[in-house]
Amino acid sequence: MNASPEVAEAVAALQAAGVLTAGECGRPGRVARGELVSVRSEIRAALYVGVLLVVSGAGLFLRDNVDRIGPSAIAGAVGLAAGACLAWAWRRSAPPSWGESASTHAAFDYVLLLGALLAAADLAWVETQTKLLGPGWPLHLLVVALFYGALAYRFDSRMLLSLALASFAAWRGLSLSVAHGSLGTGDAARLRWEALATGALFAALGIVAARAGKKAHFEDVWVNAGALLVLGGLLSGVFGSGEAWPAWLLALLAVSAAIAAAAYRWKRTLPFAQAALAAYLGLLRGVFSGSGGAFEARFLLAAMLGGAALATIFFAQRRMRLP
Amino acid sequence: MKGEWVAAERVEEVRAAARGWKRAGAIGEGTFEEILRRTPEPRTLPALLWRVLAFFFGTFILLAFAAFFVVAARPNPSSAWVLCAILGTAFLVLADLQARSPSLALRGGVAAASFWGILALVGGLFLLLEETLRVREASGLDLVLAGAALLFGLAAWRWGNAAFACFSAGALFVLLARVPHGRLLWVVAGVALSAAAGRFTDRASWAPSHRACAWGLGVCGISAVYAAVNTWSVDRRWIEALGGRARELSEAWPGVGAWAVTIVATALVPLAVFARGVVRRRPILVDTGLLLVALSLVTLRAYVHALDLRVVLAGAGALLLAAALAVNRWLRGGPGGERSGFTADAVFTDEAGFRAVELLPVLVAHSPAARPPDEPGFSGGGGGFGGGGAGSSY
Repeated sequence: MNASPEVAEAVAALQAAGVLTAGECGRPGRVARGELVSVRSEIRAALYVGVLLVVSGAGLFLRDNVDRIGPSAIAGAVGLAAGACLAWAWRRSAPPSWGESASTHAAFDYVLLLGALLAAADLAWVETQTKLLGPGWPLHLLVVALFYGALAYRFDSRMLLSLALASFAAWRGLSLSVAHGSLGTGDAARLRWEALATGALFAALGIVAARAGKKAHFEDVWVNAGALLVLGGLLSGVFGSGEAWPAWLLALLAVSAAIAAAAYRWKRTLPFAQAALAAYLGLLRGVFSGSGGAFEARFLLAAMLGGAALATIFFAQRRMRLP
Repeated sequence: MKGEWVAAERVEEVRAAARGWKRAGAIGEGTFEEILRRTPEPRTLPALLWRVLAFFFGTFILLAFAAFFVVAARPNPSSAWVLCAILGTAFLVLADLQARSPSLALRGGVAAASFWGILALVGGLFLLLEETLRVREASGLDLVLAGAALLFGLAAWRWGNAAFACFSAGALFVLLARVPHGRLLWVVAGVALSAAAGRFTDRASWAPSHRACAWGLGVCGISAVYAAVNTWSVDRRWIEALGGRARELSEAWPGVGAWAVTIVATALVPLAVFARGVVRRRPILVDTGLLLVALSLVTLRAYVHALDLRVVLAGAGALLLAAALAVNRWLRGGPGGERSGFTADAVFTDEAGFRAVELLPVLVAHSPAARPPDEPGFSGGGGGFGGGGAGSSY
């Protein structure tokens, strides 16, 4: 919240009306008058960029000097740095809990992230050098996913849970990252089924964990990642499966409707948005498929479908009573 | 902007602030409910995601309608501007109709319709000048830029959209780059714009959204001044190239004295902006100053190679970490956890949005690449650097 004449005026008026006590008016009034400013976002951003710069600089240095320093020394040094970061995070962390816990230090999230990234990179480096897993080397992605996941639950970090899910998906040949392509490389049909299975697994685990009260606030990370994979897999079928696309479109519409209905019932905005967007994109495939016919009519139909989707969104937002 | 919209914005400011107070535990549930009762919601304000979704669907619908009319009418190039003008006007009318409706005004549709309406009108102006009136290309482009600046400026005033104010300033500065002494004009106009905008950023008589527009214009003005005086920009003749005038300059341009001025200005302008932000306690100026400091350091690195890039990166990161921790510690050590009106605590802000923004770069940069497909006879070669979320190299 920044300085605001309206809020400053309202604070004074609410105090005069007896709604706010003198004690309650203190900070809100000062912030509204611009007498108190938070630089928390700036500090967090600086810590975040600092971590990324250190990782990049050190990584480049080690990569360019691998022959001079030696692989064992590199593995040892990176492992030591990772251990130091994680030990610092451990000492500063709140006691383990299935509930939500607040960060105890401004740098906590970033030191934890640095330690986790360094440890995972060290693991990959050791695997590269020793070829311990041989042809089964992708298994190290599963190990990394479990490692991230364990840290995420111990230190209550959504960021690490997201990385854990991305690593698990990478183990199954999928990439959640835009930079790495939507469905990886290789046999598209197999990856499609992998996406559907992995997405369903994520969503199911998230819902079960939330119902069991185990880090219930992580549910949205699990469910959103799951919905993204399932809808992405179905969309890839609609747009890339040749003659079979109508069947994939039907499946996409059915799953989108189910996700939207569940999101509507449990008031989850992001899965609803994903479902609406995926269904619309899938329908566009149907509208613009084939040749011949009046092309302008297809555009008109696309606009009308968009209007119907927009009306549904307005209706859902109103009924879900979200702010 | 209509008076009732201004009044609605003021109420929305208070309601948003009250939500922040409640979230931070500064007020109880009963007090919060009482504040909401006294300030009833004037317009439906959905969450950001709903607004973004509505903006995208609104865009799909408008573009599909536009494509329908273009394909159906098949206008020839000399009369295409008429269709653009009709569509642009229709979209702007649609935007205004939505803005007048309390249930539609804040759903994202106003921004979508007005943005595409202005683009259609600017496109129509271009086609009119280029294909119908056959105006000389350079003059035509100047008129199009002037038209874009005017339309976005009027739209910012009408609907209180800070992004439109920035687009308007952007079009104006591109226009200035195209006239002689464009760089000098960037400095003059940038200073004038930021000074003029600065007078209205805290003016209570202005609507909150108009104050946001003033902030946007102020930042655009500062950015223009910095772009004009930055050493790299002068060296690359960036503004002159933008205006198509780089080839007209002599080899000796801008002269030895001017180089010295740009070097000093590259160092001082960011610090001046940062200092102004600290003195006035305005986060947007502090942030702009910090961003410009970072750009100046990058500029310095482009000309001074005394240190290895790897050392620079790691060193800059370590310095940034140390500085952030030192500032955090210093502020928390003050009475009540604050010093000179600054605090390291979150004051009534929702950090969920910041965390979401923070997550995206981490996922993009550090989530591992998908494993390659299994190939017959492939014996594997280890994961390399990538499995651990470190990308393909350390």
